[in-house]
Amino acid sequence: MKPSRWLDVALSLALLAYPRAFRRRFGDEIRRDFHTLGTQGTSGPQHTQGKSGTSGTVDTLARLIAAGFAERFSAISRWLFWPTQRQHLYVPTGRRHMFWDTLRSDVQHTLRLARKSPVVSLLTILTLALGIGATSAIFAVVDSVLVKPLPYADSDRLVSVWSDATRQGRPRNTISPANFRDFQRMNQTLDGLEGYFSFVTPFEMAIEGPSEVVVGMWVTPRLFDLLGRTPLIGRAFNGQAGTLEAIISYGFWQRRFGGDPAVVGRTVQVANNPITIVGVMPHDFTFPYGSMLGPSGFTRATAVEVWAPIAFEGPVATLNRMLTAQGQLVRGTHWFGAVGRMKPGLTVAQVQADMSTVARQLEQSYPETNAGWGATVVTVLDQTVGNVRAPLLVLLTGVACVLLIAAVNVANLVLAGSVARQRELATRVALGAGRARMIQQALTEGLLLGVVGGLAGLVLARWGVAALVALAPPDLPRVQEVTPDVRMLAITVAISVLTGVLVALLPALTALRVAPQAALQEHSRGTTGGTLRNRARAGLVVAEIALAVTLTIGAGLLIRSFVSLLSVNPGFQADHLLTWQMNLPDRLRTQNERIEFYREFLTRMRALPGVISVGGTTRLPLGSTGLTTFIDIDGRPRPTAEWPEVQFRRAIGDYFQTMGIPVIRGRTFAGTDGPTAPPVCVVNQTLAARLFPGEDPVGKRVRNGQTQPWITVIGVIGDIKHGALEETPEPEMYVSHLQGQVVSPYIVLRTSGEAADMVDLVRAEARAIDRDLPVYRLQTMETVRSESVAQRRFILVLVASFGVLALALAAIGVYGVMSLLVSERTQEVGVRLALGAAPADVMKTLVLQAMRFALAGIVVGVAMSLVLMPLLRAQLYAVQPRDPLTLAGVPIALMLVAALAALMPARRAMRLNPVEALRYE
Amino acid sequence: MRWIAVSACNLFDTPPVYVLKAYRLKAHMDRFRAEAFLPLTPVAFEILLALADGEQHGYSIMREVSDRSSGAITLHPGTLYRALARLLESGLIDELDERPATGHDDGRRRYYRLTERGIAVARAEAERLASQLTAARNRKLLRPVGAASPRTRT
Repeated sequence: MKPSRWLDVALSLALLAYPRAFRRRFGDEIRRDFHTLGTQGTSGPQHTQGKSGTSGTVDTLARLIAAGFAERFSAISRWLFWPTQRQHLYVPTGRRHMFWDTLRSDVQHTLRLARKSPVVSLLTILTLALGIGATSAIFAVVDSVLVKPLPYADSDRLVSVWSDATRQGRPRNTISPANFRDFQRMNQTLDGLEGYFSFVTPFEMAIEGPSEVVVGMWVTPRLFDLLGRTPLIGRAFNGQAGTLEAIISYGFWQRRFGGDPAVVGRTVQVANNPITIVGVMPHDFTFPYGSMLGPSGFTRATAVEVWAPIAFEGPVATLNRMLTAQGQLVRGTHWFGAVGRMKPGLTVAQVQADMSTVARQLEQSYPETNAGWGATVVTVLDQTVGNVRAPLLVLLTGVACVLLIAAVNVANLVLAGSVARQRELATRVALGAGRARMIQQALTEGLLLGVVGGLAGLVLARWGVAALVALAPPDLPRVQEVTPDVRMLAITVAISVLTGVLVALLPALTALRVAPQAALQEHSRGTTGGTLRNRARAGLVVAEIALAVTLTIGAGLLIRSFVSLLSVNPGFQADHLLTWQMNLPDRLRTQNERIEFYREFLTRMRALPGVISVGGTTRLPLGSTGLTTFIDIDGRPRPTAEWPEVQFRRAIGDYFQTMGIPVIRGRTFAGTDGPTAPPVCVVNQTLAARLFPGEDPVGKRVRNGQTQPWITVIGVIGDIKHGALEETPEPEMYVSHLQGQVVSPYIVLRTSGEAADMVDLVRAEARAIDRDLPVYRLQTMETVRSESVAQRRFILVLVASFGVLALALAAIGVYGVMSLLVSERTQEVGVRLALGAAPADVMKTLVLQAMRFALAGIVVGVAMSLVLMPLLRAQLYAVQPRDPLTLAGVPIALMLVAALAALMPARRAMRLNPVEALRYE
Repeated sequence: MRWIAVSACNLFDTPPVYVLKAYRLKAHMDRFRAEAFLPLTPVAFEILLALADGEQHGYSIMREVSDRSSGAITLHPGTLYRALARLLESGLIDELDERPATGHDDGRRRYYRLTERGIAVARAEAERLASQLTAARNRKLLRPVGAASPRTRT
C-alpha cells in the first residue's frame, strides 16, 4: 500500500471522532485540506514549517481527533442544556435521531415530575443509592479477597503443599524438614517447591538502643524467586549457606528506618547475632497470609516484618532445632509449610497424584516416622481465602437481598406515581403514543433513577469500602488489599442499569394496559387498568416482605449462633486477667539461670499492688495456636507411628489457679517438681477420657519419645477452649517450666481490680526487672476472647444491619402501598362512614388488608428460608438452620412492623370527614 | 501538547472557546443585535476578517489567517471547521450556492462569505477592539497612531 493510502485510512479513522452529521457536512473539506497540507509540506502555511513531514502529519491527526471529541462533547452538552435555543447547522441524521429526540423529552419529563415531588424523589434516589452503594462495596471486598490474583507472579500456578495426617484426620498438616527436602527433590510436576516455618517467630532485634520484638518469618532462600517477586531495593537471598541475612517488609522499612535506602547492607543485632539486611520488599507484597500458617504457631499476628533464610545445616539449623542429635534433618516433627509452582499446563489433581506418590515412597522408606502420612495439594488462593469464602458469599447474598428490596420499593413508588399519572398516560395513548413509546418512557424513567441512584451509590460505595476495611478484623485475609477500583465502577454501572430496568419493568407492563377511553371518561378515580396494577403492587409488597423475612431469619440465626458462642464456657475465667508475651533475655543460657529468672520475675509480679496471682504458659487459649506431640503410654507398647497425638503445653508458676481452670483430680505442679525431681505432667479431662477410659489417670506414665524419660500424670484439669470457642477440646498435657525450656512465654496475671488499669504498672515493672525484656501483645483476656470471635462478629454486624435495613424498607413499602390504597379509597370510605360504618371498623378493614399482604409475604419468606438456610449451616453454632424459635419469631416481628406501617394510613382513613370525602365526587 | 489543554478546556467550558461566546445569549430571538455576539473569540474574528475581502474556501481562510497574523494565530482544520459550523449556525456567514466563476483555483471546494449580520458583528467587534486600543494608547501602553511600530505590517 502506498503511504498516501495509509494516510487516507488514518484520516478516516480520525474523522470518526466527529459526530456523524459534522463529518458528513465538513468531512470532504477537512480531507481535502489535510491532503493539501500534506503535499505542500514546508512550503505550506507557516505553522507547519520547520516540522518534518511525519511528525507534522501525526500532529495534525492528533489535533483533528481532539477537535472531533471536543465537537462531540459540545454537541452533547448543547443537546442536553440548550436543545431548542438555536437551530443547529447540522441536524442529527440517521435512523436513531428520533430515538435521541424522544429520549431527551422523556428525560426532561421525568425530571419535571421529580421536581414536582422533591421529597419522594430524594427518598427514592437515597433508597437506590443505599442499595447500590452497599452492594458495590461488598462486591469490592468479595472481589478483592476472593477473586483477584494474589500479589505473586502468575499466581494461579502456585499451590500449597501439606502433609496429610490421615490417621489424625488432618489433611493439611505441616511438613517435617526432612520430608520437605524429599518432596522438593522427588516431585515431577513442580517447577520449584519452597518452604517456610508455619508460624511467625518473634525476633528480638536491636537496631539502636534497646531491643524490640519484630515479627519474623523463616523461609527457604529461593522462596521470593518462586513467588516471582523481587525486592524493591537490594536483593533476594542468594542461597549461600552460613550467611546471616534478612529481608525486611516495606512497612517495617518505613516505620523503623524512615524509608532510608541506605538500610540495605546495614547490620542489626537479632538475639545478639549480627544480621545483614539485604533487601526491602515492595509494599504490596504479603507472605504468608495468616491462613497459610499451619496449625501450630506462636501468635495470631500475621504482618511479617522480617524474613530470614532457613538453613538446612550449620549453626542456624541447630538453632532452629532442625537437626537431630545425630546431626540429621528432623523427620518426625512437622512445622514446615510449602508453596510450589506447577509446571505450565498441569492441574492441581495431577500435582496431587504426583505428591501422593512421593509420600507413599517416603512411607516405605521411613515407616517409623512416615506411616500414615500422605500429601495434600491445594491452590494457594484456596489456602489463603478458602475459609472466608462462605461467610463473604453470605454477605454478598444478604446485600443483594437488600438491593432487591430497595428496587422493589422504588418500583412500588414509581408504580404509585404512574397511578397518579393515569390520565396523563391515557391522554398520551389517545394521542397516538404506541406501545414502544410507552415502554421507552417507563424504561427511561427507571434507568434515570438507576443512574442517579448509582452515581450517589458510587460515593457511598467508596465510603463503604473504607468503612469495611476499617471495621474488618485483621485476621480476615487480604482485607488490606481492598480498594475501590475500575472493577467496582463497572459492577456499580451494571447494577445501576439492572436496577433501573427492574424498577421500570412493572410500570412498563401496566402502561401497556392503559385503556384511554375508560381512563379519560372516568373522573379522578383511577381504577381502570387497576386490577393488573393493584395485583402488581400487591405482588411487589409480598415479594418485598418475603425477602425481608428471609434476610431477617438469616440474621436471626447468626445472632443466635453468636449469642450462644459468647455464652460458651471457655473453661477458664476470662475476667480480671491481663496477658502478654515476652522473650527471655538471651544472656540466660542455662536452664538454672532461666528458672532463677522466672522465680524472681513471678515473685516481683505477684508483689505488685492489685495482683492476686501470676502464671504463664507456652500456648495462650484463644490467642495462639497449638503444638502437638505424640505420646507413648506405659504398659501399652505400640509402634511409634500409632502413638496418640496430644496438645503439648508448659505451665509456669500458678498457671491453672490464675486462669481459674478447675483441678478435677490429683494436684497441679508444686515447687518440688523441679529439674532434678521425677518428671510429672498434668492432663486435661479429654485426654483422661480418651486415653484412660474408665481408669484413674493419676499415677499413669507417658513419654513423648522412645529415648525420653517416663512422665507421671499427677493431676487432671478441666477442659478449656483453646483454638476457638466453637471448637471441641482436644487432649492436652502440661509440663512444668521447671522441667523444660520456655523462651517466649505468655504470662497471665489475675488482678483484683480492672485488668486494663494494670498495663502501665506491668510494663514498668517488666522494664525494672530486666532492661532487655520486651513485653508485647499486652492485653486483657477479655480482649483476646473478643478478638477470637472478631470475624464472626464482623459478618454478623453486617448481616444484622442488612436485616434491619430490609425490615425498614419493607415497612416503608407497606406504608406506601397502604397510603395509596387509602387515598384511592377515600370516596368508598366516605360513603361507608356516611352510611354509618364505625370508624374503628374502617381502620380494621384497612389494617387487615395490610396483614393479608404481610401474611402472604411471610409464608413465601419462611418457605424460602426453609430451603435456603441450610446453606448457612457452616456459619452457625449450636443453632439448627431451621431453628423453630427464629422461624417463628421473625414472622411475628414482621407482622408487628407491617401492622404499625399500615396503622398510620388507616388512622387517616378513620378520621376522614365523610362530607369532605364525598365532596370530591 | 497544547491541543490537549485546549480540548480539555472544551470539555468543561461550554460553550467552548472556538464557539462564539455569545452562544448562550438569545441572539436569535427578537431582533438581531450585533452586540449580543461580542466579544468574539479570536478565531471567529479572524475568520470574519478573512472573509471581509470576499468569499473564500476553508483552506484559503486557514492560509490567510496564518499569513496575516504572521503565524501568531494558526488555524487547524479541526478548529477551523468547528468555528465555521458555529458561525454558520448563527448566520454570520453562509455558504455560496454556486461556485465562483473564475479566478479561483478549485471549483469543488465550498466557499463561504459574510452575511449582513456577519458584517455587522465584525464591525461591532472591530469597534470594540478599537475602543480598547484607544484606551490603551491613552494610558501610554501603546504608541500613538502613525508612529512606527515593529509590529505594523508593511
